[in-house]
Amino acid sequence: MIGYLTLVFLITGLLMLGGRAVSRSIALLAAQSLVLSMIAFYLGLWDAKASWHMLVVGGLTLVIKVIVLPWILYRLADRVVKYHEVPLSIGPGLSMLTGVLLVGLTYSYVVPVLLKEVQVGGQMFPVALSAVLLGCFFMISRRSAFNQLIGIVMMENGLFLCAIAINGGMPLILELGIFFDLLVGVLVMGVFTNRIRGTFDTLDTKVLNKLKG
Amino acid sequence: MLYLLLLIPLLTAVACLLPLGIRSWERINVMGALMTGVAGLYCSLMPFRAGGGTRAGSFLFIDEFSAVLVFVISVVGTICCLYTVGYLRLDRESKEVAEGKTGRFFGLLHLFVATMYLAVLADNLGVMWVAIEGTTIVSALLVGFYGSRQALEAAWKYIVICTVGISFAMLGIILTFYAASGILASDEIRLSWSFLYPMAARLDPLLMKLAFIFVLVGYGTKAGLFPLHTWLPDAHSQAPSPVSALLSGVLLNCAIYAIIRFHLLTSASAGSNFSGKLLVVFGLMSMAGALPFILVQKDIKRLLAYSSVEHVGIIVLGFGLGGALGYTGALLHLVNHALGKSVLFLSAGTLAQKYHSKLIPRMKGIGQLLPVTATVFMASLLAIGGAPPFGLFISELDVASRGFQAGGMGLGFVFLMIIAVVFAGLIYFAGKMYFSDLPTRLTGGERFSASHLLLLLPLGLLILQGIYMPGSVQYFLFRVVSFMTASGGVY
Repeated sequence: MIGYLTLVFLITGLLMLGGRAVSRSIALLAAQSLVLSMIAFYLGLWDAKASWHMLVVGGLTLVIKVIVLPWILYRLADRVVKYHEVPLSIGPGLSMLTGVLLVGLTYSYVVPVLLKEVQVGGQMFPVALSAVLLGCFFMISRRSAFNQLIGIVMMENGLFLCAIAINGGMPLILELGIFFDLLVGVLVMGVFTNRIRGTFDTLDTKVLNKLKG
Repeated sequence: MLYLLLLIPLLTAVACLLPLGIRSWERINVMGALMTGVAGLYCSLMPFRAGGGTRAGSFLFIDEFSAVLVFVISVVGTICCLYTVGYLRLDRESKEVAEGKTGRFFGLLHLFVATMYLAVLADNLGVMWVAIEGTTIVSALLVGFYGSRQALEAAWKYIVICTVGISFAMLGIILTFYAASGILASDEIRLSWSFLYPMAARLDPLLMKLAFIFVLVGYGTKAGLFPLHTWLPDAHSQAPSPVSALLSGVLLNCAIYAIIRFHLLTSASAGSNFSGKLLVVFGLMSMAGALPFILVQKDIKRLLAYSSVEHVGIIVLGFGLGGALGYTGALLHLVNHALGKSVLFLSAGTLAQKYHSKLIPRMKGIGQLLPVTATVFMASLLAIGGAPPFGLFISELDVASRGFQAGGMGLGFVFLMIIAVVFAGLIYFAGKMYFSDLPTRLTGGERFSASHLLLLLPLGLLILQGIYMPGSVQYFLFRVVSFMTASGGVY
């Protein structure tokens, strides 16, 4: 069961690289977060080793990342993204290919060689690290401030899965703190995208090039 | 008491965000800043009087090392908050800032100070991460406060680069948590510094090395270590000057503090050879990397920002070299740089306000325009350059001696050369600004005011420290250094 869920988690990440419509990215992000919360619920309910607060984490993920954040992002997108399509620096096909390569790199090199000290079995850990890298690449391959915001949430999802894979979750106080940071961070970055859109009349990060040297 | 230290700036921030009017905002800001400063100074003495770390509840903890940071935040933070009153008045006169936004500025400023206190007081390494991410979010709003194109660009780069960077630090924390899972049973204390540190010798050394690399990259981005520094000059130059002073004087130190905590853990587990060497390499790189940008700079605030990158390099280098001499030098330099650079940013900001420009070629005859501020500016520039009799001379000398001792002739020589060239560059630009004639469109002159007193206080501390170090300060320093070298953190 966990295997299937992590697979879906990975696929949503890859699919996000393949499209350029903003609404599609947000929907896929919400789907990825939904899978994350299902993993947390599953572990909390049926895994003997995992502690009860996985349920709290699952519930928080469901509320914040599946409902609140996508809602904020949709509203923001309506206001700031002009044609609902963002400029790419790399084409969709090529960027999906790069994504697959990144996943391959994680499976063949990063996890077995670089991080060989971390002995956790299963697919969850490599998938989580791949998701962090995919989020990073998502930010680079889109030249839109709005998509950099989505990329950050995607990286955060990867980190969360990482914490679950290695440690079976972090202490509750820390999880709460991270959720709070993420929520406030997205709100603040939303304010900034709004102001960038108002000042520059575009979200293309190409225009953010005045400060040098 | 520690909770109070967080509560005062928080309540001040809330009060400033209420719609009250300028007079009361200013009054609340002054009251809050003074109260926070006094509470901070009191707290920073706690571990020295109690003879060791003191905890409050299960979250907050202050030991000798964090006491140094609390001292820096309380001095620099209070001075910046107080100086902001006059700074914003000038900004309102020139219509840069709308009247109604003043309260929001004060509120964010105090919130920023509160998150920094939390970052250095948190016992749990994870809570520390949350607090440092919090500082990014709050200060990005302050960096983008003017709302101009450049300010928005700087704020956006700042928040994106630092948020992504700090994600890697989270991976390091996850790995530390994993390493600790074998020796500490309970979830809640596995990331608690005061439980983890005594056990650190039993942590898996290879895991801790990996964790340290991630942490160094993550917090290194925030500290402005060289190849990761790209957000720093943008944010420092576009932010309102009191915010630049806080960013440079305190925020960078908070990130360094986080790195050094992990450095201590890693050295206890894997020997200091590994993490210490990494710190030395990154320190030297930051010093050397900032050099060319300092020499060709045209914007005064960017110049100061790159100088901060260089000084972060010196501090990190000192910690990396370790030993009693290295730690003493690094700690002193951390405090001195915070004091000197904040004065420099504040005075340079006031000068730039008068000229309506931050470009060095346009700021001519500063001594004739604002005699007092310009004198303070020149003095603090000499201090930051490392000239005697200021304290930075002593701390750089300490780090240099340790460099010769531990790293050999080559390291010490390179270190001194970089400092000498940077000094020459700073003096060259300052000379052009001071020894030139005032443009005819401006008329000079100013009276001595309370704001100048604020600037003279840290400068006085720097001079005092360079000439005569009181016995009690020496004792405090000795306590901090012996706390850090206690577990074999010697190179």
